[in-house]
Amino acid sequence: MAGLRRPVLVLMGAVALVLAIACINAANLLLVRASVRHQEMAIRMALGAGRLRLSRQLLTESVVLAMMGAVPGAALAWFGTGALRAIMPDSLAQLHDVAVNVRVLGFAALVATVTGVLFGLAPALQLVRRRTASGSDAERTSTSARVTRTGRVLVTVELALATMLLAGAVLFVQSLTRLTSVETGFRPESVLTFTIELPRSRYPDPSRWSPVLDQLVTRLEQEPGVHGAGAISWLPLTTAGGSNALFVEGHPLPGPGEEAYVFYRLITPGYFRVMGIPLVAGRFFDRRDSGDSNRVVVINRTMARRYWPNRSPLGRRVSFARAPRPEDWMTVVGVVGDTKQGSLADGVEIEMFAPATQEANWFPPSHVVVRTAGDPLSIAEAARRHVRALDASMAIDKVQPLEAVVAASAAAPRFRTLLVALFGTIAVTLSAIGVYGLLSLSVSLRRREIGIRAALGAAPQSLSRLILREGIRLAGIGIVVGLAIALLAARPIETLLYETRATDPWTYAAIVALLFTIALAACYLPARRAAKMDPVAAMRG
Amino acid sequence: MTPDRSDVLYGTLGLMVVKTLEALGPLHGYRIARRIEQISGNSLVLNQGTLYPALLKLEQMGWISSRWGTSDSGRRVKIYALTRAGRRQLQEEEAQWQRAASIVERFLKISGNPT
Repeated sequence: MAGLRRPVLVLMGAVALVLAIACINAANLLLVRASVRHQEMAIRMALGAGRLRLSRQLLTESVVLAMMGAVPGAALAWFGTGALRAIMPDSLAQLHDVAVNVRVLGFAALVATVTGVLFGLAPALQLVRRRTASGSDAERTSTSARVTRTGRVLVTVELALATMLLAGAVLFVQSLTRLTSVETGFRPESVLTFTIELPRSRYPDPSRWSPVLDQLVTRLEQEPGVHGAGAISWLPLTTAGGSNALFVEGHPLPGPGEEAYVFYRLITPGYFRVMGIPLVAGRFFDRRDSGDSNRVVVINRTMARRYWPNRSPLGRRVSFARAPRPEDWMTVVGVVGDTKQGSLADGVEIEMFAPATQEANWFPPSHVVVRTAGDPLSIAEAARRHVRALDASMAIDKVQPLEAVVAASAAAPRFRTLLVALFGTIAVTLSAIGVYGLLSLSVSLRRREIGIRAALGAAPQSLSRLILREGIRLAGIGIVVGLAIALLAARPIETLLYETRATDPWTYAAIVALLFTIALAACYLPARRAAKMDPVAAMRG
Repeated sequence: MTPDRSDVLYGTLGLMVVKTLEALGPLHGYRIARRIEQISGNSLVLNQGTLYPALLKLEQMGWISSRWGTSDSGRRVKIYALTRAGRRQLQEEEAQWQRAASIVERFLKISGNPT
């Protein structure tokens, strides 16, 4: 599906980033474990175990660890897929086939193996590189230094990745907010909508469909709590519907292929009032616009501005025929406010409305709208009853509040934003854990140093500041690097965003502030431990 | 009680559009709708709201293309035509449907057989 490729790739990218962050945490963990098992390894090598064999064992252990993580992960994915399918918008219908099947499980096993090998590589490589192993204190110190150095690099990378994901999430949220606050041009609150069937075999022209529509509107308007009813060929924000080439009297004839096309819909007279679409000039349709009277149309504001920018369009004539006969001319009698046609993000095109009584060669108004006093669904039963009374074989479909239609039009971007925000949150949490883990390790390894400082009279604040400084430097580099990459890589995402620049400075300022705060919070506990350290115990250990 | 009509048609509407274009040549959107209703013997009601989204999707997938032309009522309109890729896709889908239909038919015959 052409339209799906980019969003899916972006989401997969986000998933890969989160996985990378999790792997980094696991790698750090294993590095620490390996350094603790330093003596064990030294003894085994002294007893004749080859370096290669030992590192293979380490790799096997890490792959097993990865598999152990993959199993609950697969179970979570199974439940999660069910939940996601429930909230997935219909416009992404192709994704409804998504399920955790054999292929997905196979992929998960493959990813677990590969990542297990990757993050197990760090301690395994350290082992292979060592010439001799004596298990001495000096060696342990240098190993620890190497561990923390590697760990620092990894955590910096982790923070960079989390920064990128968070940037993506914030951009998506901004885009969604802007999209959903777009002016739709009508007021959907308290309006019920449903569709009826007007098949050509039973309703071949206005002489058949107009009386039925008229009756339906009248009966619905007699129901208590109903303010008005109307119908239209296609609802706004669902599809722009069909179009015809337009010829405007008094304007030069366009050459073949240069015609402007106008979106064309048939309506019942009360439609605009029910929808809360404002009348900008002239009048709405009414009873005098019948099949026998002059053909009239109402145009939207965009069309009025396009063809009659400084004059009134009322009384002007338009036609679909290049060489119109008298009966092909349609007179503009009203101008209404613009409504979004296809989707929230699209601009508004020129649009024309005609009374259902006057046009035979077009899609009749089969989408009914009813404005109620309160809950639109309260008259759903009455609507069904009236439709059935008018035509026993006519099915009524898609009965829903108009607000549901509006929400559905933003469903796909909302879904994507939800996923990216979820990933961003997970990434930041994992990174915070990574920072915390590394600083805790650092405090443990620097126990003696801290103990000495404490014994020499250093205040607890200065001890904790020691750790904090380490944490801030770590965070600083990671965030700055992540920021730089995000800024560079942001351009391709811009097409998925609505009115949001991928390089908006305020966004990034906010992200930096947020991440620094989180990093500081992650430093808190290790810093406190350093401050509270008992110098005697520290130096003894 | 009755299944959601749009679901029933969603997968097959694209197929019906493409088949109509193959049988009758390039057509205006409105004409496609009318012809689908006619060909299906008026027993199937076209969901008006899904036609243009379906046309858009088919165009995105490259199975149909659009250009300006004149309809038989003399209006200048957007005319949709089958592409070569669309023709190939149609042949594949037709073969699939035939296979599925013959399997079902055979099964039904077996079930009705007393021996």
